[in-house]
Amino acid sequence: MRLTFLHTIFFSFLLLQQTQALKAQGIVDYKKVLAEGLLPGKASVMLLSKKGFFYLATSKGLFLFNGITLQPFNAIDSAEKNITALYENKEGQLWIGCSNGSLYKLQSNKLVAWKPAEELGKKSISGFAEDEAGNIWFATKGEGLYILHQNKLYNINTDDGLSDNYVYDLQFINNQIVAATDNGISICNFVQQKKSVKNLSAANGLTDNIVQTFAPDSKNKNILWLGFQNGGVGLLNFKGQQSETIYTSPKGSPINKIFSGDKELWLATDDGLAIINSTAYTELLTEPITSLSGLYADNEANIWLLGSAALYKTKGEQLRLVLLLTDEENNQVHDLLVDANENYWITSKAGVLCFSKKAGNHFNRTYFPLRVKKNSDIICLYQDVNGIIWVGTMGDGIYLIDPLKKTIKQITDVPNLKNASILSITGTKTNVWITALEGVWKSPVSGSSGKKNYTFNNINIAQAIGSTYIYYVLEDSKNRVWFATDGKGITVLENGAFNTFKENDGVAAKVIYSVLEDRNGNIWFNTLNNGIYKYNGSTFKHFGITTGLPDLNISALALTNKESVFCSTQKENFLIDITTGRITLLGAANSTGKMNTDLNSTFSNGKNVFFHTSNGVYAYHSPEYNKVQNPQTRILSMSLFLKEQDETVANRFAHDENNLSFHFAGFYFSDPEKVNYQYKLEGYSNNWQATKDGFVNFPKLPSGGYTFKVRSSVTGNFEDADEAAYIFNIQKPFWRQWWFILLSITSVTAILFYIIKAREKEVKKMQQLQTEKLQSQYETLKNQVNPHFLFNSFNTLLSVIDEDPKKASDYVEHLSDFYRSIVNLREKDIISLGDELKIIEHYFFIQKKRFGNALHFVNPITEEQKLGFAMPPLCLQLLAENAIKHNIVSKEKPLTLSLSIHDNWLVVQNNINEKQTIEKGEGLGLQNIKNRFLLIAEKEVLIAKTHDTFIVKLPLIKLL
Amino acid sequence: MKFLPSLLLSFFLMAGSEQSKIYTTNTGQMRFRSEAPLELINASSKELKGAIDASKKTFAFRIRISSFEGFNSPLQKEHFNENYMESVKIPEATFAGKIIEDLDFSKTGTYAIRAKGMLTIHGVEQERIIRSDMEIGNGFIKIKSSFIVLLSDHNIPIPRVVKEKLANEIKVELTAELIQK
Repeated sequence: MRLTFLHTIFFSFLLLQQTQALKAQGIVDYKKVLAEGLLPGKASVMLLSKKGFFYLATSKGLFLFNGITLQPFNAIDSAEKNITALYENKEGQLWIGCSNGSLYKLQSNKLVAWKPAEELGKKSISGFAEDEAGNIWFATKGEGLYILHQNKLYNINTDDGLSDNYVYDLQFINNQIVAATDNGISICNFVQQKKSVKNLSAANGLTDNIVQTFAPDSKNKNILWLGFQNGGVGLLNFKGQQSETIYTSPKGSPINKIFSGDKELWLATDDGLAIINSTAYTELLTEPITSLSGLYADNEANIWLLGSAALYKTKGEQLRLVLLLTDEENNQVHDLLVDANENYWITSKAGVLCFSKKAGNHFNRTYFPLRVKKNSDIICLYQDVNGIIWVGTMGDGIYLIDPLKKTIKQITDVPNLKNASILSITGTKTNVWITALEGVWKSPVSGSSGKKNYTFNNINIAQAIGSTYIYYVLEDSKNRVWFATDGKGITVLENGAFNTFKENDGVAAKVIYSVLEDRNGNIWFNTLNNGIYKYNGSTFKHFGITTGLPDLNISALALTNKESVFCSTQKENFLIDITTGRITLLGAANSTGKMNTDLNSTFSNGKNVFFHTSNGVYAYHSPEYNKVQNPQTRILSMSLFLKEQDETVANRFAHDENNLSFHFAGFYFSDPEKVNYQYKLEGYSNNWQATKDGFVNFPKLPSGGYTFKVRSSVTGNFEDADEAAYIFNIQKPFWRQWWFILLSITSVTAILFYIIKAREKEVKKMQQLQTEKLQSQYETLKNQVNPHFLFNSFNTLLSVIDEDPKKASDYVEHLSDFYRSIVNLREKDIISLGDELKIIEHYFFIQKKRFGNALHFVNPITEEQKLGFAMPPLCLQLLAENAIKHNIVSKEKPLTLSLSIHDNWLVVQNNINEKQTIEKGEGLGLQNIKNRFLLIAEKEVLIAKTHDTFIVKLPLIKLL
Repeated sequence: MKFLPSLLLSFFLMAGSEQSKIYTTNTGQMRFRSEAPLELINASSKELKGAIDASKKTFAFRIRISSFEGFNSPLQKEHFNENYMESVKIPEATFAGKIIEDLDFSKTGTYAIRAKGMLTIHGVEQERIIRSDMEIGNGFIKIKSSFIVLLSDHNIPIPRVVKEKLANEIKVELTAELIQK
């Protein structure tokens, strides 16, 4: 492992040789994102939307800018729009102002003209603002200001005291509306329809009356920075309303836009970009960019420069080349140091260079030569509490430089240290720690400066650790001492005991480069090819490729001004959030030149992290307005059958509205190309799907409740990614809706109930029929066993026997047939007409023997009819018997019973010759017939009686 | 309203002087409509007095409330004058102010302009921007405008009983021809 380190030094030396040809770049690196030709029309204004993307307006309309490309927003009307102003109000409503005075609102991603009843003027719209009451103000170039209050438009112009009707800029600052005009600054209020205007002009100390732009100070709301047409920049204090000029642009070119950052003012002028220190008012940079009109910071603290024909991206205040080194200076730089007085120290060939700030970007350069052996390297720098600079060398031990007295002294009186090869020098307020190939020394330092004699205690670690190859020592705030070893991992000295963390403690790495304690007391260490570890006092957390690390070989760690650890690899720098562990890549590499890959060649003074590259020394800090470290995921639109839906559409869909698609984006302006997505549709699949496209389509979704979730990342680690969701519901078809199912069950039940009821009725009817039949049988039997009938029959038989025995036997046959028929047929519900007629014929045969020609029976029924109809049994016999019973049957007054069929009716009629003595009859027989026909034929028996005829009409049942 | 007295005063003083920049009328027409669900009220007056000072772009108009005629019934007119407008106490309505657009009155033609001023009805001032069509001719200016007046803006109370008969939104139309003095 010894070789590895030596190789590193050798390797970096070679790199320096190669990069000497590279030309040093400017202190602010800017990159053209949208070049000439990619911007449609003339760019005018940008706005960072609350949704995370930029609106970019040009003379050809409005566009969405995602960091890479422009996507147009369409308008309801087709007129081309030369947009001059944009504003997003508190509710996220975008207002758009045009050069012809017209106004638009963005509704459902479309530009919709806004036309008040008062109508709008023709003067160009130059700005918008929203006051506390929510009134929208807009400024015009020629008609002053307009206020939209409760759907009415009010105007403020010179008649109301406005300094001028030509207004350049409008903002709501410090609870008042501030307008920049051709004649100074106007501070306006509109309360209860009362206007008030207060003007500040040259008479109040403004350098120029033409105020083209202004910006509130990022920290002090009472301070306003003014940009004048004559190229001056003024400071206006609201409190005392005093104004002073702090700067004038080099060529006196008009100030078009001011951005107030943490420490700097950025100015967009007709000639380009100027950056000035906002406290010292010193110019830090001027950069020529043709007609630069806008400066816009995103939430990642990048600053975008909008020219009329191109758009540029910068890292803004985050990254600054603080020390540009010449090729000669940038030779064998192995370590850097920023001392307590903000002087820059770098190691050099056979010496140390100190750069102390003179003015602006100019430095006084001091060289401290060290009498070192030929080919020896100067390895490390450290400043102790006394202000003494410690210098570690390869083979010549330690040198101490007193920067005030400008003295150099080599430590020669400590054995082994004099010719030691130093790897690192670290320390606390009380101790300085030195690691060398020869061992580890601890040197107590006291707070009293000027002390000449240092003592060095050699720490015998070979026994405790088993290695003397220590890259780095850290004494932490809890008085623990951490040793970063080459080959033995990480070892801690706590309460006099050494403890080396092993693999089962959670540390797999064997080569540890350095150790760092963050502000929360966590211990961090970087390794060779094993990433980074964080120790919170009880457990180790490992950061590797799966947690989003871009590289496993981490050369240095440093603390940033915020809650994160700055990490360097051979290719790039990145941040790890101290609490969440989220990794933030600091954007495109190479823009800062080739990284110095020497171990620990970064330095942090708490405010900035300094690192060295082939260009020089860079400072990184995270500005206050850096609010976002990872891609912001947004669902941009939802489409049904690929047709974009209105934002206001309810998220409930019918069962056949089941083809949904989503456009989404992860806005990350620092490195937009690296954004990757994962999405899932909960309710359909619970697995995240990876994609690079900002679009997904779900065809033929079954009904149900869904949540579409999407998240984005640039590191490949989605654990802590920003997530966007859309909840929706596809309803079941109506036949699977609860109400339909309920309705169906109810209907089926009702039908069943009805069938059962009908069946019950039928059964009841059958029972009744049965009763009636029994009644009839009883009636018939009663009649047939009527003793009169039998007596009469026997009397007849007796007389016939004497006259003609042959006829007598006929008679008995008929009599027996008659009774057999009755017995056989009485059980049946219906019998054929033929069978019924047989019975009546037998009956009449018997009766005719008795009455002879006094009784006639007319039967014209055909054979066909006999078979074609049916009826309840024994009805005719009953009717015939009734007829004989109630009427006189004699030669003088014969009784004729005749049958006939008319339209399925069997007509039974007999002539009436009523007996004087009416035979006893209950009329039960006739009623029984009626009931049986009603039950079986479901028709009434019709009974008619004229003065001489008795007619009964029986409804026959037609057989097939 | 600062314009009104001075302007009206000035045009009376200017009367008779030749080729002034002041245009006046005494016979402008004004009509209003109230379209309530139950009743349509329509009345008009031909006594709109007004002046436009072309040099200053200022204007002033006034109308006598009792000069409105054409109500549905005499009783309605009485109610209008006594209950709502209180025309005995506040006899006039005025609108005075300045034209927003930069106009060249020496060029004849028709222009769409916006008049910004104080509209005083029922003694209550409201700042208004009222759009108008303006025809500039040789020695005359014709104006034509229509706008809405909200009764609630001018403290004209609508009793609950007549809510269905009187709309809060009153549509006003006016035409006038102003002659150069």
